[in-house]
Amino acid sequence: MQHLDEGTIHSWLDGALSADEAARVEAHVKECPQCAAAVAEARGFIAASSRILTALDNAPRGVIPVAAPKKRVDPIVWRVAATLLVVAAGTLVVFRNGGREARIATTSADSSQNAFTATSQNASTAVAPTAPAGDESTRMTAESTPQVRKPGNTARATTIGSLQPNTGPTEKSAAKVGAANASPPTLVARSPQVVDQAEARVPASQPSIPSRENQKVAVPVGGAVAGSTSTPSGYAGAPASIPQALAPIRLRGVSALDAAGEQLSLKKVRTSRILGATVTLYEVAPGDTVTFTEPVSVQLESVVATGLSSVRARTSQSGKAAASPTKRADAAVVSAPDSQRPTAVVGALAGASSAPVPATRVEVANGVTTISWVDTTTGNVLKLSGRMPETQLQQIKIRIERERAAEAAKKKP
Amino acid sequence: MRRRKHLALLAEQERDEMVEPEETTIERAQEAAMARKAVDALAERDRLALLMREEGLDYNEIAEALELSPGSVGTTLSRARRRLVESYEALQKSREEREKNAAS
Repeated sequence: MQHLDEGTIHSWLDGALSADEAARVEAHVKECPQCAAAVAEARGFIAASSRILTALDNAPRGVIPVAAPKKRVDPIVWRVAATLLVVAAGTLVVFRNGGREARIATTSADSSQNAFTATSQNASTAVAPTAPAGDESTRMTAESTPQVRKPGNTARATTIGSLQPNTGPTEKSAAKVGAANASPPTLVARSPQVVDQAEARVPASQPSIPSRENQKVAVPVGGAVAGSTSTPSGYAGAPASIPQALAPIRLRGVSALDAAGEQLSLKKVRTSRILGATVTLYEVAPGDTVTFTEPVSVQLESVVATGLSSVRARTSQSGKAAASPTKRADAAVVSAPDSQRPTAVVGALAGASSAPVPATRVEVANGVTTISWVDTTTGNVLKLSGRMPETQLQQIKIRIERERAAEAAKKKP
Repeated sequence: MRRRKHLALLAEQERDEMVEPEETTIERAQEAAMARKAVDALAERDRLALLMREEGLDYNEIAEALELSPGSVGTTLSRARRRLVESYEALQKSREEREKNAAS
């Protein structure tokens, strides 16, 4: 019998031969050592190729089970990271935007002078190039649409009322932004009697406000309007009589607060610089802290303010500004989860540097009260926030201002 | 029949080895790459026949799929196996030489 060919051996080993053929091959292999060797070699090839093909199959299984969990976890981690980033960025933007908006609102509603001074003076000095743009547009709105004066009045009254701690934050902010919409500067400067009406409306629109609180609340208003007498602005020549009448109230209020402020202990816990602002954490009582925010980089702030002011102008002109206070409240929720540590609000803006009078704005979000005012020497908007009533914050503010003045005095000589 | 059993045992062994540390995984990946190369080096008909056989198809099915006579499937498979093993061993040898060169 002829020797077996390789194909037959493989067929036989694969069990593909018929019973007859298989028997014939088997018989031959037993007798033929040469074919037995060939069969052994074929077995080797079959086993080896099978192993190679298995390696081909197993390769992904050998690699992927180890790598797959990592790959599956990674996207989630990245997604979470991305979400956090977006939320953080959004918070920052909303805060800055909101802070600017509300500040302008307060400025125009309470003092009416800051915005105008900024317009008339900054245009020439160019200290804060953004202020003229933003305020210009505000003024334009007021001038071109006289019918918004009425809402402006209402907003003004509400802003004053909003200093009450028990008022809802959204409502308050909406009112403030509404004031920005209407831009009362024109109102005060051109027709002083309108101010009268606005003042008169306070009790009417906010009947729940206790009158004593109201007086204290009127402090910034009086101060602001009083400032108008000394401002060399073309718009602000008229209302001399009203500010003078209100000025004493302001002084009384400040001194009262000042006296109360003496009793507070004020301990600097730590100071940190974040995003162009110095944030100081003061401990006023064990476990009770306030956050004091002060912008440090004027150039940077100017750049930031450019975008914001245009956004604000657009928003207020289109009347959609009411949406932002809600956003700001949300942002406060995000950034103030720790009850012990008040929110650090980085809303510091280098605004109307020439504003002669510090107007105070109050904002309550999530139990955290934030007051902001314009520093008379630097023109920066300073912010103080903590979990306490606004009156207490005002006292702390006075303390801080005094300390700052003392520090500045030390540095000078 | 015994072959199938043997293959099953082999596969089981492979799966057991899968849980081994990372170094083995890398080695396995290299082996897989070589296996891939060796299989790709085969003629298409040889490769298809071999893969079909590995998938468990019998000679008649392979013959039908590849339009071969049933008698030539054994020849095709024997050729394919020999070539696969030879090219794989060649790849293995060159890799070992590379590693030796890299080590020295």
